[in-house]
Amino acid sequence: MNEDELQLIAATCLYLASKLVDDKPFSLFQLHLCGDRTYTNEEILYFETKILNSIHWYLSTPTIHDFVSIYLESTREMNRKCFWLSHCLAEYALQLSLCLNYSPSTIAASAVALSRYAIYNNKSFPEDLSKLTGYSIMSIGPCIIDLSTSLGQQSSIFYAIWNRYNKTSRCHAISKIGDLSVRVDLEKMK
Amino acid sequence: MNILRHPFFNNTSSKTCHHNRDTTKVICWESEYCSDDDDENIKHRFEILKQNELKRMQHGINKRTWIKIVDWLFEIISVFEKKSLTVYMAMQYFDIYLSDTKVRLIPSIMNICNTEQILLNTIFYNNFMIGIE
Repeated sequence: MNEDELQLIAATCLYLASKLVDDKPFSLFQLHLCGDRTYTNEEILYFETKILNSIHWYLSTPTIHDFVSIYLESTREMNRKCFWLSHCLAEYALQLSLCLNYSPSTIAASAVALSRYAIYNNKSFPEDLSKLTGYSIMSIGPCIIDLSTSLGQQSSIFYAIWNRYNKTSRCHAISKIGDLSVRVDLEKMK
Repeated sequence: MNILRHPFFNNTSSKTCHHNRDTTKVICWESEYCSDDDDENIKHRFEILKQNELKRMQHGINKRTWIKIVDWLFEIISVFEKKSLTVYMAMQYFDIYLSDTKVRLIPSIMNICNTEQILLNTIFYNNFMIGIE
């Protein structure tokens, strides 16, 4: 398989997910343009069937995003910057392939804990959240460390996330990333 | 909240069924969620999500390619103003498909379009190609 075929598969997955999630899903033509016309609508439709069979039509998998949303809801998070920073870190984690080593619920807990640490500097994992998830700062510690270390090493290559979270409407949440990559202390986070 | 839009929590009285990838058995449950989200309700929803989460991804592609693809998908949803949940779900399908097919990758050049290129393509098509067709 060539790498450009991967792009076609990714576009097809996006097409499938969009049908499930978005109010107005992608059209085949929009995805055709996004790939600079390297694949056709027919190819997307061909892979759609193949992917659906491969995932056994199991379309509703819980994602990091679902867990982040439920954690923020449980902590009644009112700070908008903390809200956007949690989502920003979750997107970083997806892109960093942290999912290879940790489950979505662990990654989401780490993203929320790190963002609370960046904003409030303590109480990053409140008792409510600990009770809900069964996790503690120490149990998700390795994931937190991996996430913050990776942020420091590779923050320059995430163009899309940087653009998405460097907006006033998202409280310039990206500006806090630099702090997190250099000063994470698990003892302080408790 | 997006979580409320998740198919697990649709507020209809009909049963929701889906296929569990690991055990290949069909799970059914009754939607019984109400609009006021008290702690018990949140805990119940969390437990359902936790039971059904896929433990880890297993895709066999290299880090650089994965980063490029995720970046490209986030770029696309930003241009077309779609929800970020779309990318998370898409990458789950992508991972399952790749781990099932166990492919060996041959490096080649991907045509990754950035925001400007996607917009240019769209404008070009809307202004010129439709007229020609």
